Amino acid sequence: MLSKQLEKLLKNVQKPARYTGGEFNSVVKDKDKVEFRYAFCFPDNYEIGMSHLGMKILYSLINAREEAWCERVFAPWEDMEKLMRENDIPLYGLESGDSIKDFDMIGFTMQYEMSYTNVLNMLDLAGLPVRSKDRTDLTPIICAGGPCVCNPEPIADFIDIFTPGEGEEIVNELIDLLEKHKKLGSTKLEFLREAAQLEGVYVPAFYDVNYNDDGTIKEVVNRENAPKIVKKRIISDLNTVFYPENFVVPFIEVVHDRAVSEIFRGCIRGCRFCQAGFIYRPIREKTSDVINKQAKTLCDNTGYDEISLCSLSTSDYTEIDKLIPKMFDWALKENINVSLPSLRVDNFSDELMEELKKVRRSGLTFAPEAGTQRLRDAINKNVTEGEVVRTAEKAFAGGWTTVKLYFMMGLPTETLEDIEGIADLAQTVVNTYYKNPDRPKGKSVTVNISVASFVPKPFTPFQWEPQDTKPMLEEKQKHLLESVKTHKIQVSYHESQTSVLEGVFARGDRKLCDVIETAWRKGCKFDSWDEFFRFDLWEEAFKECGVSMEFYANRKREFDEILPWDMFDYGIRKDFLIEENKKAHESVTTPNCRQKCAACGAARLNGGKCDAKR
Amino acid sequence: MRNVRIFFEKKDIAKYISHLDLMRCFSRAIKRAGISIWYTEGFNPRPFMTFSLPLSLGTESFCESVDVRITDEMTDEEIVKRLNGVMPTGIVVTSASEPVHKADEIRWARFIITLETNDKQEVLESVKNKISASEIIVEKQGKKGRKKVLKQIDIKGDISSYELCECENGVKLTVVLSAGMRNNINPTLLLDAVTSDVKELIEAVDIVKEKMYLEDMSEFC
Repeated sequence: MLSKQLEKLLKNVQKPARYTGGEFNSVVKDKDKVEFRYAFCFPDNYEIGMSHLGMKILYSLINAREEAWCERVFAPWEDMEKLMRENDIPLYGLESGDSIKDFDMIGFTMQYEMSYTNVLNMLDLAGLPVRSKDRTDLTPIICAGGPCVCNPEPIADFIDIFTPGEGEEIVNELIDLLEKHKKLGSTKLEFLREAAQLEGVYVPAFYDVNYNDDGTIKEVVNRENAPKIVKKRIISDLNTVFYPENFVVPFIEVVHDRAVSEIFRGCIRGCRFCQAGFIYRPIREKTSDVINKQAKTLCDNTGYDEISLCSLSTSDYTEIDKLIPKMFDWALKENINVSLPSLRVDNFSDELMEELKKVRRSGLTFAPEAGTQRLRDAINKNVTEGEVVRTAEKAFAGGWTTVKLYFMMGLPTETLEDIEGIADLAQTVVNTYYKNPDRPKGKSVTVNISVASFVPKPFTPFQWEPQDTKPMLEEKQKHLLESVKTHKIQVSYHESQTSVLEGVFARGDRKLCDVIETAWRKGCKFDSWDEFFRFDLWEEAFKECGVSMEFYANRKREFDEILPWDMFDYGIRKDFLIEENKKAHESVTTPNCRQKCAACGAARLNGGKCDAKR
Repeated sequence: MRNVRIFFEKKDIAKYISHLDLMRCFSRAIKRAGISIWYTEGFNPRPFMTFSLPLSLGTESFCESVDVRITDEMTDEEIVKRLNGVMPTGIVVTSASEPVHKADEIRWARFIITLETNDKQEVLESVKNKISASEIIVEKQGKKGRKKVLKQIDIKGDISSYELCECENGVKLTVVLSAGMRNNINPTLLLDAVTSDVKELIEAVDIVKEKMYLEDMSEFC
């Protein structure tokens, strides 16, 4: 329940329902009857955080324990933060309204690098020191997981425990262990020592990093018996792993306001720029019966009128032709819309296309990622121009008049010719529309091209590559706009300054901890929001700390350099990534995992099992 | 298929649900309750729901209503029971029945307003003077052609009756104000005018909409 003091503040903020809790399916327990309090923190605002599937899974999973209570915490928006600070209201769990400072464990999910300052801001709002070494009590223990944790070094000084990989098992093991140490009256160090022995736990305080004169890493020394190499955790069988039967149903509209059914993890495609495509391997599928049952249960329990299938490259799901009719069978009767993101219409059957036409159609998106065949081969995006055209033909024949094409800019080996290729490909799609004799009368076509700046990420074949500098990207953006000759093609692109910083953090080391703290103290937060992003303050912070952005973003690494994330084993062999990098520079493709196993090594973590193998 | 008017209370934290969010909230609750209602038959079918009058964000209410068309056999009691089993904190369904009046027949609404203060006497006197004056001028957002302009209007005639007294934590104002689709007076508009001299003394304001009436002061149902 909200305190009277908080109630008064809520009348003066935008969207007060962000801060009230009380949504349907939110879990309220008797605080006198629970032993363990867990705060699941999403370091962005309510609307973004409430859209995140991982939080929904772990929230339900922890609350399934009788003695533990997991609550949700989001970064308060500027107006609310101001009032909270003025009135000495510490950051609280939405379910109880209690200050999370007194909780036992605080878990952050790190979904994108630009949310790092929000982690510090939330710890500070909670009334906790931001640095791990300054928090000397056993509780709260601060954990962090999620994709960014595959290189946790830029935030290593702030977090007590990182959990690389999938969270469903390790979170329970950590809670068990902390409950034990609370009873024993242990010190924080005693707990951390034992936690470091769990598979998939990285305690950064137990690793000392020494540097060479040129700023690269000389060696990493592990102490306190912590393992030299930490293996990421994976769930062996997705059919039996916990999946929530309930989602908290928000009052206000959130970004992804619908039921979500996860259908598989991992990806067979091996696009060389894509971190998700490598770090979530090996591929593990759910059966269509399991998915269908979970989807129906979720819709019944939430009242949502839309369900979305969630995975990378959804149409690679082997039972998609079985699953869609099964779901449509009940969904259409109940006025529930089934949405399929990441569609590749090229490998859809005509029957499936017909089924899809029954539900509300959203826009059709397609991601060639690069403008020329040469560059698409270099990044291993195995899509040909012919396939793009055939997909567009199918889509236009199916009544679509808007197509969205995703591209990247700043890819390794890219030239201005490749940039022109983006405009040419979009033009080809426009022309395809006018070749369709049955096109709707008097209706024009719109091809939206969305161009993101490429950021090299850890555990990809491009982890050694230099990122394009801001002037290089700006030149390419300008060239693209000049190459587009018609208003039927709309170009949008991503702010390049944000990409620079994202690149720095993605491949950064511990020297960035000081920079992040300095920038945060200068007022940086919500860095992924244009209205808050202050590149000037970040530049100041880098300068004051004597750290160079170029060193991390624009420097080409040698294959034998010790990388900040080398203490992690994500299954993927480094040799495999090196081979893939070399093939990229020769524009040689690698077949997808179902065509031919490339022996990436990921299946090792799952006893050799990988659903891509036939 | 039959029309059903569902009356509900919107209290506690539910007062922070905006009108638009409330519609989503109800369509989901009705789905969770397993109640079949009629959908519009356009290209994007939507559940057909009509709310009597929008309620301002932050105002509690004991007399909200929404009309739906039930497409299966279900008693009013069953509808109330099922909905209350699936509602978020603060929304309580009080009754379901065949609509008697049309929503545009609503003419008045009764509000109970609590002005939290330690200076009860002073606040009470000041509000009493202002509200009993011959005219109460407020600024209201109006339109002049296409332009938005601030208009000065007198809302004295929009007050049907009022009662002022001291209460446990301050001053209580009970007021019947114009409401409805043609002329709806937001109680905060009145409050801004009648508390203008004692603003600093008031720590918090609590507004509860209690009842809605027709022209002849019979209750809307």
